[in-house]
Amino acid sequence: MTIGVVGEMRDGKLTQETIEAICRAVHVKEQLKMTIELVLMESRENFDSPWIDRWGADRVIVYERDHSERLEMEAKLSTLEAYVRVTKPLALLFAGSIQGQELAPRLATRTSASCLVDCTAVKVDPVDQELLVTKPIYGGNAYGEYSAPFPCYLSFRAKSIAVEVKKEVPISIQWRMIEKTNEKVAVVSHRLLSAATYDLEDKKILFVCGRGLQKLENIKRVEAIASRVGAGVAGTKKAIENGWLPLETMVGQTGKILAPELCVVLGASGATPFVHGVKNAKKIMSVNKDQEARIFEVSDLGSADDCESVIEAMERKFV
Amino acid sequence: MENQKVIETFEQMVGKEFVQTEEAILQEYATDITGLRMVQKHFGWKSENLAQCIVKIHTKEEAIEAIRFLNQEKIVNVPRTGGSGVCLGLETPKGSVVLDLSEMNEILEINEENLTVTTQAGVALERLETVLNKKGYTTGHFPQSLPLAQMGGLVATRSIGQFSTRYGGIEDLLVGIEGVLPDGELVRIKNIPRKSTGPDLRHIWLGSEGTLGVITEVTVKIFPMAEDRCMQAYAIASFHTGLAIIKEIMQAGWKPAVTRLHDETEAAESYGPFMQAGESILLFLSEGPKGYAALEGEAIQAVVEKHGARALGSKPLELWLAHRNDICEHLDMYAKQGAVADTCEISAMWSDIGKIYTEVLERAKKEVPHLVAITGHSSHSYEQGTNIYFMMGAMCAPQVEAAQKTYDQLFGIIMETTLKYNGSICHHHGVGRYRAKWMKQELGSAYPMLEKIKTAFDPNGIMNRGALLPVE
Amino acid sequence: MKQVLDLDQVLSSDWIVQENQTIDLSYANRVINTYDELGLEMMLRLQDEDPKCNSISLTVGTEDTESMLRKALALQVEEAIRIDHAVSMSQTPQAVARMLCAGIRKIGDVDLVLCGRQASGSDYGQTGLILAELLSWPCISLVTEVVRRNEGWVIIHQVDDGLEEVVVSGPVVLTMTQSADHFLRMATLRNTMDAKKKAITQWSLSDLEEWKLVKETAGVSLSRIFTVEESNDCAMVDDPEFFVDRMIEEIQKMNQSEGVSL
Repeated sequence: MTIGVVGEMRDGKLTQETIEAICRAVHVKEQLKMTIELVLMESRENFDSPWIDRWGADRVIVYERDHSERLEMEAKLSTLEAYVRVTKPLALLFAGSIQGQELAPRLATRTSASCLVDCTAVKVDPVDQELLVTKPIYGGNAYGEYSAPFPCYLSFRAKSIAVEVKKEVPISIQWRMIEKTNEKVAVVSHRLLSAATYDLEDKKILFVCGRGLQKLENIKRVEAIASRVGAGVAGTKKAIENGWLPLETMVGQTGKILAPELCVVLGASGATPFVHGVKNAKKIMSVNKDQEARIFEVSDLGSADDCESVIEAMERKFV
Repeated sequence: MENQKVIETFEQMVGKEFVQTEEAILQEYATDITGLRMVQKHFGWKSENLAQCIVKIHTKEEAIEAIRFLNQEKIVNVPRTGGSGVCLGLETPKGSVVLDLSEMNEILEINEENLTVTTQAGVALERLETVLNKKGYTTGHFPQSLPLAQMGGLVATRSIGQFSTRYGGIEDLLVGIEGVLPDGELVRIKNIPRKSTGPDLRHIWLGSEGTLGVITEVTVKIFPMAEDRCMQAYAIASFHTGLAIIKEIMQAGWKPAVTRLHDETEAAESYGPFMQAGESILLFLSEGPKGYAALEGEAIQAVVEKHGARALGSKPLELWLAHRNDICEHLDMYAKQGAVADTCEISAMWSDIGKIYTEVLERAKKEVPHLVAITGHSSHSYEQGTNIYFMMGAMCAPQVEAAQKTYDQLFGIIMETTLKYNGSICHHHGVGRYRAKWMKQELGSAYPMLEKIKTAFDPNGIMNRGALLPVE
Repeated sequence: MKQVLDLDQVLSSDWIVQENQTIDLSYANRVINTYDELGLEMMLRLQDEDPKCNSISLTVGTEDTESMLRKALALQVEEAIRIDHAVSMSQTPQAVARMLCAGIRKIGDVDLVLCGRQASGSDYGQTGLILAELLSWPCISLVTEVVRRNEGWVIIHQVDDGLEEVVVSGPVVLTMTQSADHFLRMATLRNTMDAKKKAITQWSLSDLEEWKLVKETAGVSLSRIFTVEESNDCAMVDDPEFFVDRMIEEIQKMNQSEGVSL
């Protein structure tokens, strides 16, 4: 019996979300005695096999695509349909990326599988031998546990699991051909308007600016301090709406989910959708004038002071 | 004196790092958080009347020196602390100097024997409240601007808080005050509970809006935190019946800390699932020493039941307490949605207030094209009358002038109707620059008193010129 | 469009799961799902550009969802249709998508379908995608803007690589996400009054031919809901100096393990 993991690559390496999906598969495999097949759709030129063997997959299937052509959503779906027809995986885990969250439900509809996206946990029900999957509901204020009958397709929220490096094992790589679709291409053209930056994801220290910073001047001060320590600067939805920081720095359930080692939250009250964006940080230190602010519920260290006093103290000490 | 020399003088006086001339900062300080400007900023408004610099004042000696200099050179200046005004009171005249006291922010003394606290003008109310709470006290002063406002501005604008029906407005809370007169003289009014030594000089500072001097220190009352609370909400068929209920409660001698009446549109918007069609909502919160809240709560219940109100329990009050200051963000939202929106609070005697409410709504609905909403609520009550806080919005073309036109029309209807029925054009936000044009009508024959005070204190006319009194 | 509860209103102390596996949110206001607001605004803009455009608001819900449809009518949407069916937390996205698909086929001659990426409540994030599959139409997800150009749709949407512009010909389903620049316009009082008198079309499931034809598939089922008590062991400090000292300590610890100096 097979668990498939539909993976993605960027710059010749598996994406972090793909690795997380493999780790999830490993947890499930251990309880259900299945093999894990990593499925990729990539060109030979971009394919770089080092490190594929250390996350726990048993086999890799690569559907070869044309290096010079962009692979359309429809072609990806058709290819995965072919995979499902041949392999009949019990479960398919998708990377928690924008693409993964779109592929899973669409493929599930085509192949009559059950599906859940943005999941935060999965376990095996020993009695019914099916998967029990948890995901946030009510805007993240609560969680729902769902039983997902096989075959089931799942994608997991980014950074909701710590990845473990497994022992390197020899791993077989099989190449197959992408399914060409005959359908009339409805998409006439694309162009990238602005490229995503991954800086914030890579930063070990993150400063998050909330509405409590009150003015642009204070954001600039935080940015200056951040650059001195090599930290990233992100904003809550309110900070973005005030025009203090660009949209791609927005942290939260529908923005970026980040898990730095140290997260310093300034002037954010801790509304649930925002908290989901930072709660997996290793250490959270927060400043908010209101000592009842919800941000303190997820923080390790808190200061019920006004942000300006703390910024002043930082300016003095980070010389 | 030319700008460069002015800036140099201040740099010598307070230090280079405390004099700001960067354009982006001057733009941020060019106005306050008046709803009209927040909307217009969305349509590209930028001030064409930037100050020449912002001077950060840290001590009263600096304040004295700065003001003496400005008076000598006859330079218009704008004293500023929290920047949370909503009537263009802080909008900078071109080439003026902003005296920013927000960093002069020490809490000087908490006196538990006399129940007072003395602070410098730049102390943020929210911080003061947190510090006092830790010791079991409160200022009793909760304006919606609490997260932003500072003590100097709160006194200068005659501000009021949500619990005023018990604790009073700032005029009831101010005990003593120190400030610098426009000619540079430092004056202090000592702390006394009550006295009969001529006109109460504190009232020259209260509501002066920066036009008669610069406040450097204030002493306000503190209260032990209330021992218990009683919260009850009621639905009532008509807004006018709600007003009658409040009048009866106040005139009987009760003082529920929070006494609010929201009309049907506001009730449906915030408390929809509780309301039936057309109903207004009454919110009462009583607090005080042990036994007080329950006693007052019972009395309130008796009055409302007599008028046929329907009890809704305390949940609406819990919701109100949790969300009462959220609106500060919403004015910005309306602009994004293509509407110009703001609030306007007025007050009147019981005999007139109902008529003002009705006529404002009628006129707005009839006269303002693309009106989105016009609503009202009463939030501060007295034995003689109450206030009405109107919220209004209308769609407008995304242009600065279109927003101004629609705004002026809406505001004008409220001002005219209020004056027609002998009400006051401003209950607690202050006059600022926006309402100055109605001040002569507002004060009527008393206007010369204010004029003479202004001339006596500020003969050069440099203190926040344009605010409070209209400039000819 | 979906009518949802305004979760921002709910007091944090009220997120408690009761014995019957529900949370009491009865006092929260009913509002339009935030992502549907952007869809509605985009549809109205398309109508502004081309008055010949026929705009329709479609929902699956009980009679109380008509207040949301009236708001849409007040904003000058031409027609509002309600498929009469109670939507609950235990519903699968497939079931709702099937109803919407049948409704769209019954309307006939539809060129564009806009829906929200997810709705607060179940937050499945699937309904729009499944709908596209059932209609056999292309789907573009996480859209922030759409305009008509020549005979096609010019769409801006989020992808993993950033923000992309796509041109699509023919009918398409869009799932909308939030935009930093575009917001739903407001309705004037007059239009709101007029909307009260407009008719809302109501269809029952038996009116929908297509609905009966599509096969039922086994989907997920909700077995329990729960809330997570965040452990409140946050150490509070009084002094900003002390707070910053602790920050520096933490950063130094991190750098030490990497051999970097502050």
